[in-house]
Amino acid sequence: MNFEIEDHAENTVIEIQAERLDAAIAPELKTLVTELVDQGKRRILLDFDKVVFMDSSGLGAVVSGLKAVGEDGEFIVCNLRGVVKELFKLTHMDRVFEITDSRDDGLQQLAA
Amino acid sequence: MNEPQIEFTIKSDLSLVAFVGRALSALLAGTALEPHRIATFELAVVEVVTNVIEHAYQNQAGHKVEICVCLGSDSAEVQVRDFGKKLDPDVVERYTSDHVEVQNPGDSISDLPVSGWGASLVAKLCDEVRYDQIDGANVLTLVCFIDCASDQALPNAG
Repeated sequence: MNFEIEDHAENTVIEIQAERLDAAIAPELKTLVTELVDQGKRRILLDFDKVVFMDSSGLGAVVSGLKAVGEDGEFIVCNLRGVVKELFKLTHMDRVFEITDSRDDGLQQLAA
Repeated sequence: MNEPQIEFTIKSDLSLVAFVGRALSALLAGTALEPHRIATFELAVVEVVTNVIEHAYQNQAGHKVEICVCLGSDSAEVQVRDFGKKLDPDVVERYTSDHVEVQNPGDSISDLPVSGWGASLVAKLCDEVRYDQIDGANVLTLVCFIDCASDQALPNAG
């Protein structure tokens, strides 16, 4: 299982269980978010706590998630570190995403 | 003195790319490169190997991707060799350009790109990138210079 889902009232946390978010598992994330959105869940926090590596395919799946929830939804990412954080910066996606330092901060942000 | 050179091969399967990244990272941990540069160089190599599988081999399983790591005192060099479709000139240009800027995303979420960063990232993260066609194979060579002034000394050095 590469992803775990937790429901927090109307908010949904996706905790990435894999250490590496790469082309091998990116399609799974993309499908998962699409399914959540189809169920009406459009307030999503993606938790990178366990992720030590991400490539551009992984980032593409994260951006797809943001696009799937759309302008009316919320898609926050938290616990970015090392090369994961660097990839957001290099692609300027740090300017696009709402990024929080912790899951608690992310949940507070979703509740605001 | 001979520079250590390690060669290994994977099949064209995306689930095996992590092995390349982990192996490279472990090899580079023994050099003077600082951890941040090891991580970004690993990212560049993973981008190349993924592109080989997805584009040169068009996601067909069972083809060979050869990786050769050469560790010198002043640089780490990785050659990725495949026998698939020749690289398009515009992709070669993006891999090897000296003046790479990753495009700024637009204002609208619906216009955001979800792919296409790989070659530009490789150019940005490596000190040198070369592309050659050798005996029908695509050979991409990625170089990361070890700058002793900014990179850490070896962990056990005095």
